[in-house]
Amino acid sequence: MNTYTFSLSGLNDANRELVPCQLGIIKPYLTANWVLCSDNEQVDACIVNDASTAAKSAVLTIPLVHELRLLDKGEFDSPLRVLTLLELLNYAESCLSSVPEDIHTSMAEWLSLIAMSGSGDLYFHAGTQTFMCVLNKVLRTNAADKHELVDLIFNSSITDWKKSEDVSILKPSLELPITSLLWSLGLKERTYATQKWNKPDTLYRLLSWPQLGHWESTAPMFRLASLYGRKAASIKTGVLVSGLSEEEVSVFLHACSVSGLKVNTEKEETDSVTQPPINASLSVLQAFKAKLGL
Amino acid sequence: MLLKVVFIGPMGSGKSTAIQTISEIKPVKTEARNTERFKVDKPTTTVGMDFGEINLGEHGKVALYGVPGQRRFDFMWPIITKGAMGAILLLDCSQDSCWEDFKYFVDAFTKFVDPSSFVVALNRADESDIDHCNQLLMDEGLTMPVFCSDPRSEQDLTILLHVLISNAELRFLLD
Repeated sequence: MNTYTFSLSGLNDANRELVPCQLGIIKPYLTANWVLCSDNEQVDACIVNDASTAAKSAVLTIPLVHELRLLDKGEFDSPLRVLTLLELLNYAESCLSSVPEDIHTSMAEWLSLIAMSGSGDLYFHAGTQTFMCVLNKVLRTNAADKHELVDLIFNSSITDWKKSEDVSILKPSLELPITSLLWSLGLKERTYATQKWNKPDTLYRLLSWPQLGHWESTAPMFRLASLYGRKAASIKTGVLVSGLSEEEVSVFLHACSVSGLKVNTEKEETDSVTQPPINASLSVLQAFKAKLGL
Repeated sequence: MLLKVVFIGPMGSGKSTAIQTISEIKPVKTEARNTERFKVDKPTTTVGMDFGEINLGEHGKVALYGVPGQRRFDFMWPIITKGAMGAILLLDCSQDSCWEDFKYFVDAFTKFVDPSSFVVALNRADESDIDHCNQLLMDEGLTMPVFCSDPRSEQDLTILLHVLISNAELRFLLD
């Protein structure tokens, strides 16, 4: 059994006091040995409640809200429940055993946490003086356009972005819906997405649809949304119906997740839908698509 | 070969307008004086059905049907929706009864059209309306595509049709 270290960041005192006791209770049920460390120690995983406090020394950052959603635990319940901690650490173990050490965190996940916190904090990129501020699902920035900002965020790390107390510098030239920006950013994080989402024994189910057509999208993404919206399915099934690679299917799921859509993991590939046959053939549907210019 | 797409939703949600926007023939309408102007203030409303067409050449046609939105015409709904490849549920989020109508129409039409063949099109809506709609669907254990959509916009309606086609294609690939 492997031994991993973890720390807590952004959790309140009540949580901090409970976690060591909870760890003792769940120890026999964990898939690895976990050692709780203090804030400043080098750790394998850091459970964070607030994106801005993400530990820079951790191999894996576990944003609570995001990961709990992935585990179908809904919203973060404070204090952290003992069974949730168990699932969270076992999930972290499965991530750590497959994630190469150079994969730290996803900038899209970091930004989605900032958006979820709703704090309206101002962040500026030390190298370029580009700033961004997310409030009420709108990102305000002085970047020239969305693509420039997406590229800048994608090519940066969390430490490049400094929180500023001086809101007087906030003179935005651009306002963007945060979900659309997160979607585009998620689509760029190919390596991270593959590591995180391409798990052969896991089935994914999309509980709401991305705004395809309004967000950056391609025709195969419509089929992926149809598939994962209809049933829990593997990455391989996604490849089968879309004609995309495993990496591209993983990227699609990652983009869905970071843009706030709920992606569940399930165990069985059951199709709850029993549909009557439709009076059509694939060639007719293709003709319909061609007619619409798709 | 005839494909059938059905536009459903309450009175004044934009079904007739949507069909008019994408139909390649002059839509057949069954308009009569609106006796429920206290609900939606427009002079006429559909009492039979709307009908439009998209021509696919040698592959046939796509028939576009609009159901009458008033609940007293619900006896016509299973007749019109029979054999449809999908249904587009239109809602006007500026109407007070929008979410009540949403629940009513989802409940009524999932008896005739499979939930995976639905698309929800929200007119006069924003992102928070999409979130709310998704939450209502999740509460019912349903997953449906939900989009902001202007029934006067050919581009918006093309997205909705693309979703229906993708859902239909999937049935061939999985079944």
